Amino acid sequence: MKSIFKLVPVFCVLLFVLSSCKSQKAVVDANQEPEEVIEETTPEPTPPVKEEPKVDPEAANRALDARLSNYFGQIANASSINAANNNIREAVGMFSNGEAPVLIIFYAANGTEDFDEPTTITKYLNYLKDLKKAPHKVKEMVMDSQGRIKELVLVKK
Amino acid sequence: MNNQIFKRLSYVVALMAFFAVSTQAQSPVDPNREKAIDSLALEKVKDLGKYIAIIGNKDTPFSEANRVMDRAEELFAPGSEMGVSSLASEEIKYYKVREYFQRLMALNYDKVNIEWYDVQYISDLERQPDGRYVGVVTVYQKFEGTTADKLNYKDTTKKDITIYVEKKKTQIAGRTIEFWDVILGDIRVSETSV
Amino acid sequence: MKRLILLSLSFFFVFTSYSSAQIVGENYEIEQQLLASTKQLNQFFKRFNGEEDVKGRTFEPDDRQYRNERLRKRYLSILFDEEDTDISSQAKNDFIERVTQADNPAFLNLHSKDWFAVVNTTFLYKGKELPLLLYMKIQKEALGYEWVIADVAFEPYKTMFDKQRGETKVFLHPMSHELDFMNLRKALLKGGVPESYTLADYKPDFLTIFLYEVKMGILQFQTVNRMNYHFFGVDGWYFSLNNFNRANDNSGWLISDLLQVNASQKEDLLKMIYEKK
Repeated sequence: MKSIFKLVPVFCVLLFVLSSCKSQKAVVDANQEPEEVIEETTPEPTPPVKEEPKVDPEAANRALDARLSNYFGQIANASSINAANNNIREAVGMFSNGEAPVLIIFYAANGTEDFDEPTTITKYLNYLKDLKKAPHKVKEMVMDSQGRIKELVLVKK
Repeated sequence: MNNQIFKRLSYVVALMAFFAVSTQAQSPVDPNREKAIDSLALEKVKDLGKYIAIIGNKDTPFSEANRVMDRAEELFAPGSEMGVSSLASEEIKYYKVREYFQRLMALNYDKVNIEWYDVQYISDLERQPDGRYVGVVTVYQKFEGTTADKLNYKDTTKKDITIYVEKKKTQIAGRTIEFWDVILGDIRVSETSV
Repeated sequence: MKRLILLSLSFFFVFTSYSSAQIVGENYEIEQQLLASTKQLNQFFKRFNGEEDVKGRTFEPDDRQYRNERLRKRYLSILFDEEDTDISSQAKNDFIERVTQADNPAFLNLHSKDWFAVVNTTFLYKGKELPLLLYMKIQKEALGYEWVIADVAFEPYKTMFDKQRGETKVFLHPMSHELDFMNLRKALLKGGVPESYTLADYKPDFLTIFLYEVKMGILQFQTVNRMNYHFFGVDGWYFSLNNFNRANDNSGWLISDLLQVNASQKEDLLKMIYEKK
């Protein structure tokens, strides 16, 4: 998959142009060129107010991290669908809601991170259940004011 | 050789132009990222295999099978098809992904044994007119099914699986996340002689 | 039983934790065969160019092995069909020497204009299933590339527009204009020979007829049967690729025809492949 990288700069420049220049975009759209690249998967109803400080799992929330990782393992290795579903229900309780976004980094180098398609905690935990694997560890948790996780960033083990 | 140098030069120029307009630039010439995308694609192929195992397993409750079918379908681009041929007939038979899953659920093997060979081939990613990238992952699998009346069926098939790769952006909690969308497309299934 | 076979053929990808396994041991030989097989056109190109290792992993251009001449020679020697072919070992060696020539090596490229695919398909035409050949080429479009239909060959078209010449042919007489061409009524009849009333050098455009008939539903696509690829990119040479599905190392996409051709032979060959007169 080499040829992609020769084109990435051009592609990125195009992305930039598309997102910043309306008239250009109109021209491109008229030609039915690239599909809409901007996808709103998880619209947040409230405008981005002051973000809560990101909690470093190394520090105060080490316990939370451990609890969550433990759930990942239990769901992946559950003896039955019921057992897995119970664990999923409990684990979702640690989050603001079942739709809390989950970002998965599949590659990181030189200070940049490449993400897989964002998912939600409910879908992610079901993924672990279905595929019977727990391939990721917690990289970052963003907490809400109730001390629940409102956003989770994972990375490949 | 000159051509090669020219390619590199033009690439450097393009890269510089890119850095000039965007500070979020990432090094495109990163063979490791390339490999990571390959692995991600392969991972999705394996995930599909596991979803299908659940759908095909007679012990899976109906509601679970349906939920898993939805998840499996999410791996595919809309309109994706399976094109199946056998040694006996080179003619390709076409099935829609959902139709395929439903046929699978209706299958009545008593025992199924699936092994897959440790041989896979991942093509280059090529850019298509709409700007998305497309590649093909090839894997091989040995199938053995036994019906209740002890009818045994065996084959080894080659699967050529279309992979689409696209860089997308989404808003999460007010910030823009760029991600690689890796989805599956049409799958060609051909029986092999091995 | 046939139904059973069909059902299980489509039953693929079942990897369960209890019933699936990566094959080891007794299947080592099969894995070696699959590894040796040229599994994709992509792999044919990479092997031809010396751009991947034996496991199919791409070399970076700064790798010492990348396009290495010795590696290419080794790969090239396994890219020929060795069972059903009449390619002489002399031709094979000459070709390998030519494409690996140190000062002027030849490489293949997916985006090149010098190759095309011939896809053997089946269409439903007036109630009958008939074979139809599609000639496919790759072209640049917008942000990338696409495969397109460059031409077709279809038996019913071949004679449909053959016009008669000479004294016995039907014609519109040279004073027709004085009658306001009223004789056209007798010339243009259903099932008639309207091609008789065309210029001496009239040539039908089969692709346009094909597109029209597909649009009108007269031709209905049924299936793809098999395909092969023709290459004219190596100066002075022609070769074609076919897929060999067999249980040994010499399988997958392999060179099945190889010819040294000059310019006029190339034209003749193209006419033959395109089934043109």
